[in-house]
Amino acid sequence: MNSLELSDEQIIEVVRIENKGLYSEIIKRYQNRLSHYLRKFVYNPDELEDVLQVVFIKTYKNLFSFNTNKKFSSWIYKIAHNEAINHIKKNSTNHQISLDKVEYQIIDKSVNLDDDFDKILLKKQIENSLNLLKLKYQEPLILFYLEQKSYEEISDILRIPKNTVGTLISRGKKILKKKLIINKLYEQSKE
Amino acid sequence: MNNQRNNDSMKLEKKIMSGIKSGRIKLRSKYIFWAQKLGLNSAISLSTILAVLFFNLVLFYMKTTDNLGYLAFGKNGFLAFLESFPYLLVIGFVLFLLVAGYLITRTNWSYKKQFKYIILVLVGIVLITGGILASTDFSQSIEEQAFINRGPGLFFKPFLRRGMGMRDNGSVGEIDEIGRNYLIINTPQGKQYLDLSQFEPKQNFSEFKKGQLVIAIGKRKNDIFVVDEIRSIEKNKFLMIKRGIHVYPEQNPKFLHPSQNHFFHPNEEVKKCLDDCIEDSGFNQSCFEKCRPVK
Repeated sequence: MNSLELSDEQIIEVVRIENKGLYSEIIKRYQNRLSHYLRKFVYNPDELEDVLQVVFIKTYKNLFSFNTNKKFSSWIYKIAHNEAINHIKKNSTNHQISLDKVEYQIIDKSVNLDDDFDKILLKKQIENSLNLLKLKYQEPLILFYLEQKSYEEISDILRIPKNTVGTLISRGKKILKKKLIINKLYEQSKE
Repeated sequence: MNNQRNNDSMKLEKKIMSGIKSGRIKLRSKYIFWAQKLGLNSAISLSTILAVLFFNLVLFYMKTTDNLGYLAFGKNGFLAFLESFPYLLVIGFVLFLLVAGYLITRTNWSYKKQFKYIILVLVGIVLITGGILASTDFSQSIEEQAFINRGPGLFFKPFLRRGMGMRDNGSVGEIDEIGRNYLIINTPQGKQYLDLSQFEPKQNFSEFKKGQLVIAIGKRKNDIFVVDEIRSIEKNKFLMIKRGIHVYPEQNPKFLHPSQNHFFHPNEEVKKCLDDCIEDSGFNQSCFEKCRPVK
């Protein structure tokens, strides 16, 4: 069977039992996605590559602890998330979130803000304000809006109840909105 | 830019796959994960069982010792209540409950539920099971094993010992001798002198009978307990203390026997000496020293 036709969970079964080489397929499938996710926490490209490598190695080493009845993507994101947190703790310097073009488009669609905002300014402000949010709000907001994960998946990645995911996203959005409004008023007062 | 990214991706994939193929990066054995899971589940079970046992012993302790009896004296008995409170048992119960709760959060299913609900269910299970267990003979057999120094109940001895301990603000025991204004009672620590000279009304003295169980609050001065208030107790109460007076000294040679550990064995001659001394110089330690028969 072509490895492209196999689900992640099926590939894991095969890697565990007979064909370790098939793990390259997992790397192919997740490298860009995880790199995109980790970039929110790790900004130095060399460090990002190191963290990504650790994530894939840890995932491989612990394949037997994965329950193939569950979703592999949530599991590997959880490992990536833990590594990202470890990285932030180790390098306690303030981390700066930088969004790419696609993410700006997602924000345009997702975050409901007053229409009279200057769009370019707004995007930059969202980027800055996201940096000012506590990590506990940042994480679910990034996973939901920027990584397009469902509540169920976020619950699995962050190991928190689904209801709490909803609460954190809604509170995070409110705080973000408040910060944007304060920024706007500050800018107006300067003018 | 994209080419650079693709190159980096290829490099990373090659690097990891060469490590896997060369055997430098190995899969951890499934048995390690099974052992971890088994260890975690065993630790959860053990800490929950211990939390149940400790809660059961807290209830048992309160039911069979003098602890709650001091509250019958109102606020005057509060110090004695605090002194006889089973702190170690309560700390053990809370500690094992917290450990069980913490370990449950390490399981793969727990994060789907709110932590407060997990703790609520855990506390419910522990309280109900511990409560049911307290109404059986189980706790008594633990107590017996602890004080006869036999069996696994011995583990609980440091936690139960306080139940029969000497108190500075309270005393409980069976009346052995009734004097003019004093009582001698048998306690798990041996004989105890109760000075009733401060106690009013004196006419209540006539109500006391030999063998009767009494509880008193007051202040200890060396071997003498100066009574502020005293009450008689129903026979079926404070059973741990009663066993400490009658059962354990017979079964455990190391357990203090009322007749073994005390210098004073009142007979008519000694009692007369004591009464005269108290008449002359008041109720004090020196009277007991003076009237003590030579061993």
